[in-house]
Amino acid sequence: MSLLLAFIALLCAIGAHVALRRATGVGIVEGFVGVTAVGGLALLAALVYRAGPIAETISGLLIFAFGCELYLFLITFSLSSISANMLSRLLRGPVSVAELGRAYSGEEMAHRRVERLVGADLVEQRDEKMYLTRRGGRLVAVMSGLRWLFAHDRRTASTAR
Amino acid sequence: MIAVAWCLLHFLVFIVWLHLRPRSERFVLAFHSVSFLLLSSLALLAVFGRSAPFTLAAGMVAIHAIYSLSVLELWTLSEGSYAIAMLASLKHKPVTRAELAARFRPLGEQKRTARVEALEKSGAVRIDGELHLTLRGAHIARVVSLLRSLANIRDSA
Repeated sequence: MSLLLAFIALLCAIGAHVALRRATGVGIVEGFVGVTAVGGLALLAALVYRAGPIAETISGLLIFAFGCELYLFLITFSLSSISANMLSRLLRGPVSVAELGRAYSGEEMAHRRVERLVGADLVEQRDEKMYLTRRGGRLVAVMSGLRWLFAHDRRTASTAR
Repeated sequence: MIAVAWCLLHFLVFIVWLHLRPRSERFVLAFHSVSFLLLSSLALLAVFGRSAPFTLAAGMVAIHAIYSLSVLELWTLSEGSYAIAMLASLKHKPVTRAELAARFRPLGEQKRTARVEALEKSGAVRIDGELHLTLRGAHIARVVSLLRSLANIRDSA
């Protein structure tokens, strides 16, 4: 029963996100975090009301949490992945290599990324120059820590050798 | 509790292994997949042996799924994200918008070429002067399109 409730809550959260994105200009992640919080609380209330074993209540919440993470991962992947964007474009018909080169030119892609970073409040423009915002600075610090944790620099160095 | 302890131990071994010897993306994915399959098999055995209800077993599997998806996302993001590389470069020296775009132009070209090659290698596209979707590629593209339309994402190229 808690499994079924978790799936129903997940479908409701996705449905609410779809409706919210169409009705308002809310960001993809912010919007989904909002509906997920409401959906998670509603699921918790339903599971507690059912008064099942505590382990099953926690399991239901975990299954809901995984479903939400997977949905968000797939949506952000379809938005930012270059491969996903190319495949989506090819669905409208074949594209010549030259045309693809123009549509996904290095400069165009770089400009688009800069726009997204500004939109996400990670970078700001002051006196013609681009600076990291406080949020951007924190993100860079977290990513440096993760690079150390996952030993990426060691891997890059060994690949270069 | 078993699933949490399993994931903690797995993470510890994973990190130590990465520091002892740098590993490829394929190895990292396999390392997580094998652990996930092992834990899922244990959970299934517990259900069939009637020592755990199905919901509890599904919860155990969900813990590993959340753990692996999160770690793999963070691993990928910190490894070679375009946006993170831009942010890191701005930390050292602020530049104009045009300079920033120009500096990352070669990386963009490199990524495009690598992605086209990977799509061809995976059998999603066929190249003969033009890029064509294969049947497999068309299935993936439809799923991507569905996801994009769900989240009301407009085409960016």
